[in-house]
Amino acid sequence: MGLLDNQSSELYYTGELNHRAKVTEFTAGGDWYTYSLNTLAQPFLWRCGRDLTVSDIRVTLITGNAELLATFPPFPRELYNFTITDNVLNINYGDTNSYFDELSELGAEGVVKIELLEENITGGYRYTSLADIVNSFMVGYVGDGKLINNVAKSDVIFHARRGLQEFSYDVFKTIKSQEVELSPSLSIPMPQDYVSYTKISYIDSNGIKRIIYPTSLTINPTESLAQEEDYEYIYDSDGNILTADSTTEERWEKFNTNNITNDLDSSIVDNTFNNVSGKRFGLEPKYQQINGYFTINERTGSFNFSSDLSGKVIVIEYVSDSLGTDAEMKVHKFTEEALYKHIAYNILAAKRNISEYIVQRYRKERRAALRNAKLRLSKLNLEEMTQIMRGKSKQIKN
Amino acid sequence: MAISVDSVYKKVLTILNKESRGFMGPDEFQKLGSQVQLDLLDRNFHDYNRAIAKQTGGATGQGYANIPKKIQERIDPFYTSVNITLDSNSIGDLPSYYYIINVSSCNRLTDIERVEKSKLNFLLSSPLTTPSSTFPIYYLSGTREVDDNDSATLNPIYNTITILPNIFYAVKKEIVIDYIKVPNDPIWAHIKVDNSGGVSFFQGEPSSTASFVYPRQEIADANGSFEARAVDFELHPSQEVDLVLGILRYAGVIIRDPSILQPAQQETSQKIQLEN
Repeated sequence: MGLLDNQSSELYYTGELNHRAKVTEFTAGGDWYTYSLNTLAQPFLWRCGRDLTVSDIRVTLITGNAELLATFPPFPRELYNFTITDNVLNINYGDTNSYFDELSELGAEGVVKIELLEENITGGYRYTSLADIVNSFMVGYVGDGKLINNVAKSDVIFHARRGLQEFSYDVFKTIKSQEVELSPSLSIPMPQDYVSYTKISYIDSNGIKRIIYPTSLTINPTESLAQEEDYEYIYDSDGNILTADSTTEERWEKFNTNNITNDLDSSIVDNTFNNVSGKRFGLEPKYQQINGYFTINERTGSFNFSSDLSGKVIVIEYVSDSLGTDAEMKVHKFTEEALYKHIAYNILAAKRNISEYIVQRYRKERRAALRNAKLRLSKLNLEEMTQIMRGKSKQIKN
Repeated sequence: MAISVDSVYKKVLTILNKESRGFMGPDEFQKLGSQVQLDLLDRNFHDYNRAIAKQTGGATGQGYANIPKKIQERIDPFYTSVNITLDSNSIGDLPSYYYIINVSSCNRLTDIERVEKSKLNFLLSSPLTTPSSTFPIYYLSGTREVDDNDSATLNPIYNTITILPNIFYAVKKEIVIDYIKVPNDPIWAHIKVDNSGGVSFFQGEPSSTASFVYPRQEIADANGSFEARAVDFELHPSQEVDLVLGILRYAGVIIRDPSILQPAQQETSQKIQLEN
């Protein structure tokens, strides 16, 4: 069976799979018409992530009967009053319109269009799920006559997940990013699955990404202690020390960063500045930008930004460990082999009575596979590189 | 592919009676046969393990020299599957099994792993190892938890299987268990042929006229009477020799005749040496 055999092209490209059934194919019983969705549900069920639910399908009634079209418009008519039990669609007689029993009135001319909806994410073929990796590893690497004759699947899962974490940090491409409009509080909480940032930028009016740099000009204290007027610390009734709002953060929020960039306020350009025109020596290049600054506030688990960024659209690109949800637990096919080698090495290294030369062999194989994966993922494309290198001939660059 | 219970019984009787060493009744034969069948089935697992160890050491060939495959075929007839419906706590009742091979769900697409109960707390407490719908786990228990307020669950003693995460499986409800079953006890069904105690093996479906078929089984037919039918040994035919020898060995123990016991034991030992 090929890897694409479980998903139709229609479902992949449109996110929908249409199925039409004549009304006469439905089974009438009580107040309900029933129809088996087993065939339709197959693309959903083959992975057994879950059963088919009402939200997975859209049901529409279609008819060419002129009388019905005139009497009970509109057609096609979408139905809402249906349930799904064990992949059987149950449509209520009355549905939403009390004077019209859709299916019974439609008779033999009626057609029920059933659309299977799926979140339309294309490009999933690039990835292999962690479940597939673990199962394939158990088949390919574990068994009689193999180096790993016996291992608990939970051990394999553990090493696979650890491998996924490690690969997320330095092999996989960063694909996670959040777009947030910065509020006057100048603070954005870290994403739920945040491990480390790779780049933080704001989006200008043209949609161009402007990189925001971290600054060491200020700090976000992890503790800001409350003090009396005589500077004594304040405690609660249980003897725990009380904290207060950070003065450092408060002052930084009010600070106008234009004061440390080239973008000087013309009102302060006086004779003093005129005298040194063109002689601005000793400037720190890291501060000679007007994109703003951010700091990481470990106390609140958030990013704090300089005041000039208030109201701007901020994009946080970050690294996660790929273990947030089951759907995330997947690896790019370029790194599949590296993950197998990673699991094998870690299991062999922890197993007793395995010769050291075998452990070392797998260690080297793991490193080689990892290097290979990094190279593949770095997309060293000759044409793209040539285009970039052409820029080298320019005299002035920014 | 089974071993005829009549064939084995006759062979045992022939060897026992060769020098007028006594007679073994059908009931006694059935009990010993059942015992030996279980013994041989269990031995197959150990034999298989030894054969695999030898194979790993390069001491096994292909084709007719593939001993692990041969031993596997001895166990395979006992392989069977059953669908288990779990309750709302994701606990299910197990069938009478000899050895569980696999537990799976979702039309066998999701393998459920058995875990050591001593590791259960660690598995559950670590985010990297905690069971999920993709990687579920199971453990076995001897008894179902008893709800003292519910008379229906008072003092039941079951072999039960518990699947985790139970939130997921309380919804999924059905799992498939692949296992090695406990062999059926052999029955040498027979009918009286004369009034002086003569009996004859009876094979096939008991009819209403065969109401004198023995032994009686606790299975009611449509007429409400109890009838017996012959049940063969379920072992692989290659184990017939071991089966006869095993029954003879036990017979020797019962009749306390060393002249039966010793040759049977010697024969068995030689066979084991030959195979290993």
